[in-house]
Amino acid sequence: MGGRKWEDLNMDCLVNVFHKVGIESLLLDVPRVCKSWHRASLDPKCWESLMFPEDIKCKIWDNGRFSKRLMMEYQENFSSTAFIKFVIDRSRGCAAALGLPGCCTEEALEYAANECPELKTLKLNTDLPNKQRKIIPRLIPKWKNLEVLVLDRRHKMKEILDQIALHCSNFMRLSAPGIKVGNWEASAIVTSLPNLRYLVLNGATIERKSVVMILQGCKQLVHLDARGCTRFDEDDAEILELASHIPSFMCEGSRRNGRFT
Amino acid sequence: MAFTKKVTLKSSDGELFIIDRAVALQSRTIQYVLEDTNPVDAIIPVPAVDARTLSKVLEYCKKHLIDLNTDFEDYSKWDKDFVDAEVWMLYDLIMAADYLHIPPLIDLICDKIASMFKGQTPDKIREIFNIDNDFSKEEEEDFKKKSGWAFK
Repeated sequence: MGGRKWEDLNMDCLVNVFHKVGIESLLLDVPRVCKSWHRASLDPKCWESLMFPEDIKCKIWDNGRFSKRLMMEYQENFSSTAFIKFVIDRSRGCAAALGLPGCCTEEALEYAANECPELKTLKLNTDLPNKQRKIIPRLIPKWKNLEVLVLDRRHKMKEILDQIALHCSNFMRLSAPGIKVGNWEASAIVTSLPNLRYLVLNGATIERKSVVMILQGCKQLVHLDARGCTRFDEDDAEILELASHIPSFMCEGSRRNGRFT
Repeated sequence: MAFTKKVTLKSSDGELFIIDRAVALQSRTIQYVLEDTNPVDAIIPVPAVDARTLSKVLEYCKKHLIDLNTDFEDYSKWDKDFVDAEVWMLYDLIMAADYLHIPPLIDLICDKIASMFKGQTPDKIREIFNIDNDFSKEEEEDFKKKSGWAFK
């Protein structure tokens, strides 16, 4: 390895590597390798993507690997709210992507809304408790640069989309795999997001007429993933015709009567 | 014709590489040189990169010339094989890609390096990349004490 010193790699390259390794490694391993890596790991650019591992739980410490490590080091003093705030602080307002763990408190959520003004991608955890789900629509206006949202069937989609329509002019991608889309939800998508470009609904329960409504209402779609859905057929002629202008349209495996035919 | 179609690069150890201009233009550093001076038939020195590394970088640039017949899948397989290299080679490549300013290549190598130490302990990472531990025992202990975020 003569002359090749990884510890002296320039800052831009180090930061480029570190922002890809994930929160766990960035927090517990990378800074402890050597002094120059420690310094580089504090650069806010390493913390642009704050995708918390989903296995950090509030009280059930023996569940995930990361939780175990945090607990081993910090014993019973570990507070998930303090932890989330600490990680968000590392990004110093530069966070572009955020996926909070299921143990996220209301306090931590509010903090994320106030401290991540540059956020482009928001992933809402499946395990988020009801109380926290309820305040999401109220927080959306703080994320004016939001472009991408990932949610599931337990979130209040209509209320969230209403806020996005009002406050997030760059919004372009909604990912809601497995959700239930009836008339109400489809009209929420069409009314709030007529300029949507990417829509991911794979595995959704979606009425045929709702698919038609979305295809007629969202004319800017360039990507629609409706694979493995129920309530409409993959070879439905009207749907295929309406979707024919979408460069990336997928509906393989979708069946009117469920997936078992 | 205002531009030559071929460009000659000279590595740090003096080897000459005659390549298509389009291939060379993937390097922003060389692009700026060509824009500024338009050296017809001139030799562009690449003093920071040796022949072995430069030929590998140019292999990447040739492959990644926009080719409508190559789909995304082909690239990702090819890219994966390309960075399946020894640690020292990855180091030389990233230094070269940084000097020549080829963002997609930098990204590709950084992805590979990140995958090599994701989930590894600090000891293991130091072993893979041959890095000296320059922390004192006290500083290592401090890591635990200073982590105030863990406390309410």
